[in-house]
Amino acid sequence: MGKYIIRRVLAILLVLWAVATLTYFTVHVTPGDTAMAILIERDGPEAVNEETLNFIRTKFDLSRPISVQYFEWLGNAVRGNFGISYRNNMPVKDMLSIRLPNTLKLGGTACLISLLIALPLGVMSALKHNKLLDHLSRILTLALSSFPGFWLAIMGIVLFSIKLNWLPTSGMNTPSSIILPALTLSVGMTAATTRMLRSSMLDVMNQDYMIVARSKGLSKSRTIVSHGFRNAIPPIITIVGLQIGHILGGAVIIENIFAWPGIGDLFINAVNSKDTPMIEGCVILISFGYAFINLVVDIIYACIDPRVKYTNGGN
Amino acid sequence: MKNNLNKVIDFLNRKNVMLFVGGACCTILILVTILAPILELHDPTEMNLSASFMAPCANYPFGTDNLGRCIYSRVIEGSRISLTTASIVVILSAAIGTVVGLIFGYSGGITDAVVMRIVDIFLAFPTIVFALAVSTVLGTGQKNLIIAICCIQWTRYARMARGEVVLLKNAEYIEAAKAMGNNKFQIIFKYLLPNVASKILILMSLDIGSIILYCASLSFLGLGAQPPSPDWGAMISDGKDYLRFSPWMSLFPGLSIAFSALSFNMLGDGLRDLIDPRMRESVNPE
Repeated sequence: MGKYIIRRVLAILLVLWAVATLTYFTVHVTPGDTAMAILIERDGPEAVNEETLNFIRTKFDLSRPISVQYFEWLGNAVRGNFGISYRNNMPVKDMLSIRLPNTLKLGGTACLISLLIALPLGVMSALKHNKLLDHLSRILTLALSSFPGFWLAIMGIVLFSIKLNWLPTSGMNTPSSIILPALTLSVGMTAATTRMLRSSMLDVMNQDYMIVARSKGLSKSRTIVSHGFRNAIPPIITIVGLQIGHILGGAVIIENIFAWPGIGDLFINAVNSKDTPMIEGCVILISFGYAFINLVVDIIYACIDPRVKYTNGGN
Repeated sequence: MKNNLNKVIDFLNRKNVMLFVGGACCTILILVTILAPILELHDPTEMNLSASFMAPCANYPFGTDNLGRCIYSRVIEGSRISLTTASIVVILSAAIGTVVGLIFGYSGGITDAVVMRIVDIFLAFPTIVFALAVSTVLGTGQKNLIIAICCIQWTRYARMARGEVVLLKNAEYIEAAKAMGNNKFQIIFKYLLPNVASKILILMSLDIGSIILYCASLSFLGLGAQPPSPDWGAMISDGKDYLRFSPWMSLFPGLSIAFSALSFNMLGDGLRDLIDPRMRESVNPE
C-alpha cells in the first residue's frame, strides 16, 4: 500500500513537471519580440523606443537564451514563484493566493450541491429501474448535460436578477451572490454523477451477493444500504474526481460571467491581455489542482476497494 | 389514466426510444444545415439599424440583435458552423487517437509506455483551460479552435483503442493472422481496427454533444469564428450586454446549442445501448 502511494506520487510529479514544461513552451515562446508585445499591450504603440524596450527586457528577463530562462523559471515555479504579471506589475504568486480561496469556495459549494442532488436521485433512479421516476430522471439528466453552463448562467441572471430581482447579477459582496454561480456550475456535475451512480447501482444490484443478502432475510432497504450502496461507491469516487476537473474548467467561464474574483476570472483576463506569466501560473495551478484531486481519488479508491492491484499503478 | 401511463412506460422500456428520438432530431439538424439558405428569411449578416433590438414578431421570429440582424436567420446559418466544427474535431481526434492507440498498444514496450504517459499529461489539463492557453499562441479563429480541442480529445480515443488492443492482441485469430504471414500493419488495420471500430464509433457519437458545448464555450469567450459570422457561442456573448431589454439575443442561440447537444447525446446513448450495452456509463464525459 505504502509502495503504491509512493509510486502514484512519483508518477504525478513527473506529469506535473511535463505539464509545467508543456505550458511554458506553448505559452512563453511566442513568435516576434516579446518585449515589444508587452509594451504595446501595456502602454500603447507610442511608448516603444530603445530605452523602454531595454527596460522591459531587463525587468522581465527576456534577453537571455530561452533554455537558460526555462531552467530558472522552472526553479522558481517549483517554489510557487511564476514571475511578475506583465499587466499590473504584481507577483503572480500573490494574485493567485488572493484569488484561490474564492475559487475553492465556489467550486466546493457547487460540488456539495451536485452531490446533495445526485446521490438520492441516482439511487432512487436505480431502485425504480424502468419505472416513471427512472425515466424522468434519465431525461432530466440527459437534458441538463446538454445545456451550456454559461448560457444557463446568463438566463439565470435574466430570470432571477433582472426580472425577479432576487439575486445580485455579479460580484461576491453579499452571501446570496454565490447562489447563481454555484448552481449553474453544479449542473453538469449533477447530471454526470446521477447517471454514473444509477448505472453503477444497477450493476451492483444484479450481483449474486445481493440475492444472497436478500435470501438471508435482510430487508430490501437494508440490503441496498449496507451491501448495494457500499459497493457502488468506488466508481462514484472516480467520477467525482473527474467532475471536479470539469468544475475547475467550468469555473473559468462562470467566474468570468458573474465577475466572481477567482482564478478563472483572473485566467480569462490574462488570456485577453496576453499576460504570459499570469497565464502560466493559472494553467499550472488549475492542472495541479486537478492532478492532486485525482491522486487523492486513486488513493481513496485503493483504500476502500481491495480489488485494485497495486502493482499495475492503479490503471 | 394510470393504465395509460403504465402503457407508455412499458413502451419506453421495450423500444430504444432514445435512439429513435435522437436519430430523428439529428436528421432534422442535418437537414436544417443543408437547407439553411432556403430556411433563412433574411441575409444572416445583413445589418438594418432601424430594426435593431426588435422583439420576436412575424417578420423576425426570434427578434433582431443590436445591429438589426435577423436572429432566426443567424441561428439557422450558425448550425453550419457548429456542426461542421464539431464533426471535424470528432473525426480528426478519433482518427489520430485510434491510429496512435492501435500502433503503440500493439507494439507495446517502452514506446507504448512513453506514449501513454504523454496521454496522461494531456489528460491532466481541463479541456477549456488547455484550449484557452493554446489559443493565446495560435490566435483566434475556427481553425485554431479545432486544433486546440483536438489536442486534448485525441487522447480519449488513444486510451480506448490501446486498452482494447492490449486485450485483443493475444487472441487466437491474431496468432492465426500472424501465422498466415501478415505483417504488423496488416494485422493492425485488417484485424484489430474492425474489432475496435464499434467502440470508437460509440465514443464518437457520445463525444459530439460535449464537443458542441466545448466549441460554444470557447466561441463564447471570443476564440471561435470571428464576426460577422453567426456563431452561436459568440451570439450569446453579444447578447450578454443587452440582457435587460432584449434577452432573446442570447436565448435562441443557447436553445439551439442545447438542442443539438441533446440530439447527439440521445443518439449516442441509444447507439451505445444498441451496439454495446455493457459499455454503459463507463465512458464518461471529460
